[in-house]
Amino acid sequence: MPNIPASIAASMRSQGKPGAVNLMELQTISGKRYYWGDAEVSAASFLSQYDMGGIAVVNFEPLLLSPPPIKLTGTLTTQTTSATIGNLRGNTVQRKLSMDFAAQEFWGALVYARIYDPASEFTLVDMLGNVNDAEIDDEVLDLPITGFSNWSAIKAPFIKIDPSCSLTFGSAQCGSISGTPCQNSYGTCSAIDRFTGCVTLWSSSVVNPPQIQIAQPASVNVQNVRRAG
Amino acid sequence: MGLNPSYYSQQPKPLPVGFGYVYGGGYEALVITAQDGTSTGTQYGLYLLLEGENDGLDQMARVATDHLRSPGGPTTITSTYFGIPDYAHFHAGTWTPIGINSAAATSIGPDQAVDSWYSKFPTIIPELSFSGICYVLVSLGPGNVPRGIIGGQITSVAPLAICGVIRASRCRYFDESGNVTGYGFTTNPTWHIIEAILRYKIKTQQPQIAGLTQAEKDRFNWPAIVAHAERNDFVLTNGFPRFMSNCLFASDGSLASILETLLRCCRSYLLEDSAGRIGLYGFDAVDSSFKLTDTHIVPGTFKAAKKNIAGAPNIFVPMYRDLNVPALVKVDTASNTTTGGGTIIFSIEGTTPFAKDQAVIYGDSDNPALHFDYIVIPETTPGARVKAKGFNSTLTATGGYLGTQDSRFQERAPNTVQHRRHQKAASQVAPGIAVQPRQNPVTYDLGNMTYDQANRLMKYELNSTLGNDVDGWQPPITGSVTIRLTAIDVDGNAAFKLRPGMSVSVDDLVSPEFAGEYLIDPKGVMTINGPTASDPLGSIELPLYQYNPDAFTDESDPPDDAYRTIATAKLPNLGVSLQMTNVAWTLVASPTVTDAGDGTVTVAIANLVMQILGRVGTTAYPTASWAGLTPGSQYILYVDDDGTTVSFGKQSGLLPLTSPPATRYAVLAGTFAVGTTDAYAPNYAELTV
Repeated sequence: MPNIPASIAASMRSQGKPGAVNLMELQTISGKRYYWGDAEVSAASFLSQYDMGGIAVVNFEPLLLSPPPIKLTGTLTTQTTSATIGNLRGNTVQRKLSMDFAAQEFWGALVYARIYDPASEFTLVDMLGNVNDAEIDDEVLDLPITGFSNWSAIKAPFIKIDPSCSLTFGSAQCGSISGTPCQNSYGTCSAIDRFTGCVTLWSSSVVNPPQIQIAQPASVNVQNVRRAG
Repeated sequence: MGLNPSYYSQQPKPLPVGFGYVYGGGYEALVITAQDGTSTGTQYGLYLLLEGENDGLDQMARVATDHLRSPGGPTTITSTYFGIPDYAHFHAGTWTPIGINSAAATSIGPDQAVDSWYSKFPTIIPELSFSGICYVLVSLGPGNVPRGIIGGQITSVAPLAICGVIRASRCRYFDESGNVTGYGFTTNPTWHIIEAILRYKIKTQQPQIAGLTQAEKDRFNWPAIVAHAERNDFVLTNGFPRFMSNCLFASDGSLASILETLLRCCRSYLLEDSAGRIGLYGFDAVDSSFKLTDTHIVPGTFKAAKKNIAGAPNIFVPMYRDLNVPALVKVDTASNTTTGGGTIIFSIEGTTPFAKDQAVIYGDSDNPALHFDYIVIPETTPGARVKAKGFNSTLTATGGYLGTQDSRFQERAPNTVQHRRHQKAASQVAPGIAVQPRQNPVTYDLGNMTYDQANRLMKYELNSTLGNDVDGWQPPITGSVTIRLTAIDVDGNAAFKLRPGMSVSVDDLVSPEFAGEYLIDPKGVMTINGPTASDPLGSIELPLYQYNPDAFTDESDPPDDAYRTIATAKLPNLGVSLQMTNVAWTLVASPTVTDAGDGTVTVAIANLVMQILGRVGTTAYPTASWAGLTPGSQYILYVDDDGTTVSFGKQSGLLPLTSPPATRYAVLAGTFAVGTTDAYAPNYAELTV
């Protein structure tokens, strides 16, 4: 059974070459969105699909100089790719993006990129990821991108056996509705029922000779920096 | 300080998370001996086990000389920890409700209120409920006897040193639309993987019984996931599902390491197949997805090679702890001939390895009625037999094996899966010197597993990486090809729909020498380039690997005597997915009890918030109220909520709720009186340990 609709297949065959364009949407941590393509087209925005107002049709600015190749793998290795935003004409990067670069944090921005056929309004392939760095000059904005499946960047499991609480203040699991963030300590906890610390670790070693020796961990902050020579 | 102390880190200790059956003793947080007037006092120990929520304990030992045993059986044991536990308070690791926990410390588990035995600890130790953490509080005194010790009381009590067989994380089950269809303990790797992704990436620190928003559902390929779960659950001829995972992730690692092990346990891979949409797929036999011919490819890009496997591993060693009980002694006959107290005689081959008071398990005979745990009793007639405490009835059996449940979770690393021909295909040494076979082992961590499953997984690794170990062996062919983005084959299949793990037929117009079936290698990277000015047609780069349908076998090699286990001694819930009913967590509840003036009280909970299984958000019940309660009597307060209509009701007595409809959820259970309320959140219709 064919894996695409017959109408799409017929369209692609009749053109003999793709009528597709590369589109990229970006949403910064602060919520500002950018829409770039390698051609000036209007298309439904992927990032807007969960907005209150529903899916928005937006104009993609023709600034996508180098679209991100889309990489797929069955391994858990984090896939990296990159996109370049540049001046296809005019000096938009210098005028506009440089100002945004100064005012916005591009790191961590959500990226959705796709190969899109405007004639049939059909997405051939797409990807989701995050910007993990950004560099800009007068001509181009380079955006290295990490794929959605960035599993190695996630610490798990995350609860520690420690006098301190492991939860994020104000999370659903924490349950605190206090306006004052805690210090993850028992004394400053405002949702003590959900506190995950173990305040007193009183094992049998307090009544029996311990058979273990605690090893000092390596210093996290080195104050006495070794001098060369 | 003792000599030769061991060293460990001063840093915080990571709390493990477990999936399926796991084994361990947890982290000893509090231990004290309470002088309660008995000859030795009573020891109380609090052990932090796992990140919650977990299902319960199958077996537990409290001291080093204790033995693991199944519940039930013919021997009389003075203590039991099943049903209502008397010396093990197991707390599953749900979230402690905000508000009600300020009541007296009276919990005996499995709820997450403050445990009653906190009263045994000094007052400088704050009473904690360890919300979200599965823990067990254990007591041990002369008044209760460790399991496996027969009769009477013991006068000297060994230090607490617990270990147990734990049914770990409860997981959500989903349908093909991403709706939650159930919740419970499972050994199906699919639900372990999804639960791990939800807990640590998609819905971090949110209720583990919550449903998904549309945006969250859209991040998963649910039809593929449900098909993967069914594929794992397929029951093989040995009675076990095709794939199970039982793993403990103790290190402060990454989600990648958790997923890696879980995927390996079920011969699968995870694929982000579209815009961060996660699908799970097995390495299984597949049909061809695309017929590749010369008009599809970028000229000159098909490259074939014989993979350089000169240094490749050729011994595939699974490292696992055996979920089954090793067969230690072969039994000729078993005869329970003495009534009124019962003694069973096992006629065995060789001499007995078991000592007095050892707990043994018997199985795989022709009479399942005798397949139980027994306690070895003193043998007055040395010889080829084992004498143990038996039934009060006359029963006999032939054949079978004896083993001990203590030896379950034995560390195993059989090196039985070897590619003999690859070992002999080593590099030449020198003129006149024979080729030296080269053995290169590789080990795979498989958590807790059965021999059968581990063997099948290793056979897959061998066949897929080196090819079948048969006469005329040739290493698999690898390669790569770049095809046009818009290529469509004769069957109407589009190239841009190809994904790693799919199969491609290469015809002889592409390569007459290397025509055949190839996998798009899931271990490689497939790159899709959109049309650009320099390449207006766009392209797809495919990593190829010769397809070997024999790699995906469901047949294992039979174990020899060293790895033989007792089939009938399997853990009771191994290979099943339990289904909790009437699941709802009480998240916030500060009850107000008022005197109605007629000898009864009314309970109101204006701030009641609950999370009902499968619902996306929490539900608040500001009008929650129950009237007509007798002060000091036991009640279960519940809410009936079908999503449209809400009403409140109560049931006298302890759990379980009697024949509850599917939409009845327990809010609080306990006694309610003005100023002396003592209640907890049961979360379920039944008490389970």
